[in-house]
Amino acid sequence: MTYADFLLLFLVLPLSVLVIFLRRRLFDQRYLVLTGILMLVALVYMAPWDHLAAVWGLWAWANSQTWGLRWWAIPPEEYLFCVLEALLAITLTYALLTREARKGEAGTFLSRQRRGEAALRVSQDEKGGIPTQVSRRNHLEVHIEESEQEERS
Amino acid sequence: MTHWSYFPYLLVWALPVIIVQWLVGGRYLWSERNLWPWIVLSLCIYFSLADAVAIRAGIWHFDTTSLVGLWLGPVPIEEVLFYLLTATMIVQGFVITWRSKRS
Repeated sequence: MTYADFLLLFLVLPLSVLVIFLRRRLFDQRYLVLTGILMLVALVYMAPWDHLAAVWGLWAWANSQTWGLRWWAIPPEEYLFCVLEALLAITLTYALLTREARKGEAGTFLSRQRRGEAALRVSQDEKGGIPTQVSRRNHLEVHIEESEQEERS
Repeated sequence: MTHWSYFPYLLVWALPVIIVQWLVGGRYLWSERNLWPWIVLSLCIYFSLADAVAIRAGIWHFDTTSLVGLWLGPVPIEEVLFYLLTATMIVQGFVITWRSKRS
C-alpha cells in the first residue's frame, strides 16, 4: 500500500460518500468560502511544524511508498493528507450542523405535519409540470401560519 | 542532534490554538457542546485506525526514542492525541466561524 492508496481509501472514499449524501447542500457559498479558508490555514500551520519534525527525524516516510518528492522535508502526499483531513472534518461537521439547524426550525409538531403535507402536495403536483395554484396557496398558508406563531412566541 | 520529543512538540503546537479558539468563540462552542465533541471523538478513532493500517503497511514510521512508549497496537499514543487535537482544531474552527455570523 502506497501513501496515495492510503489517501484514496481513508480520505477520498469517505469524502465521496459525504458528497453524494449532501449533493446540493454543498453549493452553499458560506460553507465553500469557510472551508477554503480553513483548509489553507490548516496547511500553513501544519507545514513548518511537520517539516521541523521530519528534519529532527521524529517521523519519516518510506521512499518506496511515496511519490519520492519532498517539498521541504515533506512528501506532497502529506500536504494532501492535511488538506483532505480538514475537508473531511469540516464537511462532516457542516452536514451535522445544518441537519441540527433544520430540526430546530421545524417548530411545533402540528406545523411540521402541515408543512410535510403541503410539501407532499407540491411535489405531487410538480411531477406533472407547473405547480398548481392550490398547492402554492397551501404552501404559502403554512408559512404565514408559522411566522404568526413565531411572532406570538 | 538534540531535539524535542513528539509529545511536548505536539502540545506546544496544538494547545495554544485550542485555547485561543475557546477565548474567541467559547460561547458558540458551548452552545454546540452536544454535537462537535462526538464528531471529534469519531474522527480521532477513525484516523487512529487508519494510522494503524498505514504504520503496519510501512508508509510512515517513528523514532521510537522520541516517543513516550505507550502504544495502542502499532499506534503510538502520540498519534492518537495528534488526531484528537487536529480534529479538535479543525472542527472547532468551523463551528466558531459558521456560527459567528448566523446567530
